[in-house]
Amino acid sequence: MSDPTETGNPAANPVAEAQTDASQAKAEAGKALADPQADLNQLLGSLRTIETQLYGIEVTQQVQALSDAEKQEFVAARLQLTSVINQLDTAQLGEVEGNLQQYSAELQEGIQSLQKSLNDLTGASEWAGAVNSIVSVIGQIVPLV
Amino acid sequence: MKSVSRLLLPALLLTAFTGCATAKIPQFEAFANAGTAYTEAVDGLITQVGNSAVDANSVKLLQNRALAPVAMSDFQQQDKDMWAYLADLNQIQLQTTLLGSYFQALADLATSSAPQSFSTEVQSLATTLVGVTEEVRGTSIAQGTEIATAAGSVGGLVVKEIQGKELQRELEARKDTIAQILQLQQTLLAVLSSQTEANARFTTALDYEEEVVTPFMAGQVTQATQTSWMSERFSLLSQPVLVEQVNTAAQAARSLQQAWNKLLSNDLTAADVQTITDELAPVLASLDALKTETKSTTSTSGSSTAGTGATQP
Repeated sequence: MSDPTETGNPAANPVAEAQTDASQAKAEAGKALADPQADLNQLLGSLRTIETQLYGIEVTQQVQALSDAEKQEFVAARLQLTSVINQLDTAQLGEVEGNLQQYSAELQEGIQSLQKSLNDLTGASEWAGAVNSIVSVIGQIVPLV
Repeated sequence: MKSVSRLLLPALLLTAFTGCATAKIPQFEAFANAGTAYTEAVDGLITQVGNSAVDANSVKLLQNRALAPVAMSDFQQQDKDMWAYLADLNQIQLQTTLLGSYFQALADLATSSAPQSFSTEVQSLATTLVGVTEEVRGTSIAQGTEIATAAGSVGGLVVKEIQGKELQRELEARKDTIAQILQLQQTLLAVLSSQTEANARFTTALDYEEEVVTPFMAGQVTQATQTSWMSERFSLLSQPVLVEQVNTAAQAARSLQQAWNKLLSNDLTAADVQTITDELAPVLASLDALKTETKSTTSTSGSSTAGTGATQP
């Protein structure tokens, strides 16, 4: 994959460069998403560098000088690269979300267990209150007997 | 007096032998409150991260449209990407809310007034029993009031001990799960931080080129404009506020995990918990300010921009 930051020069043919970048990004993202050991962060870092370059003033000024058809091709390729980055961002989040999901049943269980303990404690004081009421009634009856 | 001593002795023994669980209740309460504050902050930050991602994507779309017409299919693909991203963020928010509910349940149990209620009821019950006994015997019982008070205290201590033991039991049952979730929260915040930074950098990159690089390269920064140029450069090079906030929350997640470990080893101090709440205070304050701002915008414009709740048509 070309990296204009390495040379410091704008792309010679921005349309072809953007198209190559987009298709290579798509291929590499596909490989990375299929490999659980892949470092998505590193791939995302290099794709973002290319994306920033493609959206930079220098490249944009070059593209403005091209024909309408070429501009459209460039825009489509650039958006394709953006889409690959979006999908990798989502995949990164999805991985964390999947891991968090694994613990949700146990968290629910913990919440229920804590609520049951709380209800039992509240129940104990309600029970004492009920006994107290009965004994109070007995206390009122005893003097009458 | 002997009977009072007899009643107080078990309470004293109970405190001496099993007082650990009771003594730990304030630690649970403090930890649970810090955890609730943490989940509240992360929930708000996730919403802001979603907003910044869509904003950055909109900037990209607009820059493309400024260059050439965008195919409908390309536009729809960007929407599809954003929906998928926001849907994942929503799922993560749900998981964070669940963690918040867990901390809340922990706090509810730790702050339960059941021991006090039980103590009051038992004291009242003992007072009534003393009265009934006096009626039956036809004589008064010496230190009847003290007996009732002691009975209430013992009752309260017993329930407090049960409360402490229940919290301890939950801690033991969930120690690994909560530790792993807090570890995952740190991973999540690291991901959110790098994504937010990339989005923020992209959004400001154009401004930087136009307002900093171009005037500088063209020799347009004069003595009259150099202060504002320097200020603009500093502002655009500084770490974006949202990234700072996400990093602060990541630090709070690390502190919360350390606090959890200390709770396990019975070493949690008020200072540990204060560190977490101090870390989160500015984040929560700024999120609150943002909510107020959004509410006033909504009330004047009739629309809302807050939340990751963008819905798929």
